[in-house]
Amino acid sequence: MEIVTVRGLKKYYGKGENQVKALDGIDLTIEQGKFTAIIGASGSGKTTLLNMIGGMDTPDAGEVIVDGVSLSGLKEKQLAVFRRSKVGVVYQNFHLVPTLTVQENILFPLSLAGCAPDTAFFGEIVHLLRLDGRLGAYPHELSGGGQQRTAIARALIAKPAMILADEPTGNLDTRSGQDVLGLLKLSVETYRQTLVMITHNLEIAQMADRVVRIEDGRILE
Amino acid sequence: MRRPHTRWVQLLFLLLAAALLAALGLLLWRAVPNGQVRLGLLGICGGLFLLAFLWRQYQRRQVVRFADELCQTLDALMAGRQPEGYQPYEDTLTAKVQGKLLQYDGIVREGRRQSQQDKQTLQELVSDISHQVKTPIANIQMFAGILQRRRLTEEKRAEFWGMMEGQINKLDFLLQSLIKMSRLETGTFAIHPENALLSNTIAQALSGVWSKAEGKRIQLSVDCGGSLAVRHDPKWTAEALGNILDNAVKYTPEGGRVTVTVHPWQFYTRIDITDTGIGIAQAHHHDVFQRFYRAQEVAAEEGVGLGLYLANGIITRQNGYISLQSKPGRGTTVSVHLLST
Repeated sequence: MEIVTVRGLKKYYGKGENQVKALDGIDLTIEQGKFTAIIGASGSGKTTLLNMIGGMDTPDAGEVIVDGVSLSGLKEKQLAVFRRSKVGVVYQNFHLVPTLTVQENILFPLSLAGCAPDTAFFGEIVHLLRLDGRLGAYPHELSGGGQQRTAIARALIAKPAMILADEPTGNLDTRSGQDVLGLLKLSVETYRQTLVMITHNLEIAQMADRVVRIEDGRILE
Repeated sequence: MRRPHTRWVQLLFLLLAAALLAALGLLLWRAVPNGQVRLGLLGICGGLFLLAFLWRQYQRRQVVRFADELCQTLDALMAGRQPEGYQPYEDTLTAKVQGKLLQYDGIVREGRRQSQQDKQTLQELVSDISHQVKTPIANIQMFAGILQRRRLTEEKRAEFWGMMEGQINKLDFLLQSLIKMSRLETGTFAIHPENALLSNTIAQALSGVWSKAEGKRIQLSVDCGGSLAVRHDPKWTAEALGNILDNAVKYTPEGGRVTVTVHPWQFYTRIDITDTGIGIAQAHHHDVFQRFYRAQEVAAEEGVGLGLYLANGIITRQNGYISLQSKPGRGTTVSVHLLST
C-alpha cells in the first residue's frame, strides 16, 4: 500500500535563460513501512522533492498525495497540522534549539501541538537511541552523533507515519554516521514507519528497500 | 444512566442560586432607595444569569456534537469505511481525536495485513521446500532404480552408489537449511544474547570453512581484539558469520584472500568479511539477501541460495544489520553490524 503518490511534480526557479528546473515532472509512489533511499548529485532536486513530500514547499505543477489527501488542497494552517502530525524530519545540520536541553528538544514538537507526552513511549525511544544519560545536557555538550540521535528522537516523538531524512549522516564521520543510521533504521522498523532518506552514500542506499535515483529533476530507476 | 448523587448536586446548585438571588434582592431593597435603579440592577443581574445559562447550553451542545462525531467515526471504522465529513489536519478537537482513531485503525489493519502476509509466506515456503526437495529425491529414485534393475559392473555400481550418496548429502544439507529457515520465518527460534567474546564466535565460524579454504589455497586472516566482548547470541551469530565466510571462500578463486576485520564503534560493532572473489553487480546487491536467490554466473557452484538470507535474518533478529560493498571482479565486503550496548 502506498503512503505517498507524487504525480507530474514540477518546480522551476528563475526565468528565461537562467531558469533552473529543480523538478521536471516527477512521478513516484512510496510504499508504507518501507525504506526508500533517494540518491543523486547535488542540485539534482532531491531536497526539493523531499520538502514537497513533507508539505514544506509547494510545486509549480503536479500534486503530492499523502495518505489519500492531496497537499495542494490544504490551507496553510492545515498544512501546519499535517507537518506536525504526519511527518518527522531529520536534517543534515540537526537543527536543535541550542537553549533547550536534550529532553526539551525531543518534546518540543508535542509542546507546539499542545499534546501531553506519552511518557512510556518517550522512555522507549530515549533508550532505543541511547540517550538515557544525556537528557539534561544541552546540544553543544553532545557529539555530532549525539545531536543527530536527539534530532531523530524529536522526529519520532509525535509518532508520525513518515520520517523524512535529508542526508542525516552528511555532517558525521563515517563511523558515527553508520552508528546513527543503524539506530535510525532500527527505530523506523520498530515503529513500522516509512523512511524516505536522501543520501550520497551508496553503502547506506544499498540497505534501503528501494533506491530512487534523481538526475536533473527527473527520476532514473 | 445518571448517578444518584448528580441529582443532589443539582438541587444544591439550585438552592444556592435561590439563596444568592434572595441575598441580591435584599441588598438592593436595603441599599438602593431609587426604585428604577433597583429594577435596572435586577434586570442586569437577570440578563447575566440568562447569558450564563445560554452559554452553558451552548457548551453542552458542543460536547454532545463532539461525542456524536466520535461515535460516527467509530461506527464508520467498525463498518470498514472512511468516516464521513472527516476533515484531516483541521486544528479542532474532533479532527485531533479522529486523526488518532484513524491512526489506531491503520495499525490494526496493518497487523491484520501482516498476519495474512505471514500466512502467504508460509504457503510459499511449503511450495519452495517441496520444489527444492524434488530434484535430489528424483535423482535418488533414479539411481536406486538403476542399481536394482540393471546388471552392472562392480566399478559402475560403486560410481552410482557414490552419486547417490552425494544426492543424499545434498538432501541432508537442504533439509538442515530448510529447518533453520522455517524457524526463522515463523519466528520460533530463540535468540539468547549474552556478553561473549567476539573472537570465540569468529573462531567457531572460521572452523567450518578452514579445510575448504586450505583446499583452494585461500589465505584466511582475522584481525580481532582477543578481549572484545559484545552482546550477541554466540551460536546463531557464528552460524550467520559461517554462512558469509562460506560464500566468501566459495566465490573466491584459488590463491585468493579472505579477511575478517572487527571495528568496535560507539553503538555497533562492525565485522567486515572481505574477499577477493568474483564480486556482485550493484543491481544484485539487494537480491543476494533474498531467499533462494542464486546469481546466473554461479549456477555451477553448489548451493541453494539460503546462506546470506539466513545470515541477514539472524543478525536482524538481534537488532543488527548487514550491509554490502562489492565490485564485480574485485571482491566483496559483507559488513555485519552487531548492536553492542
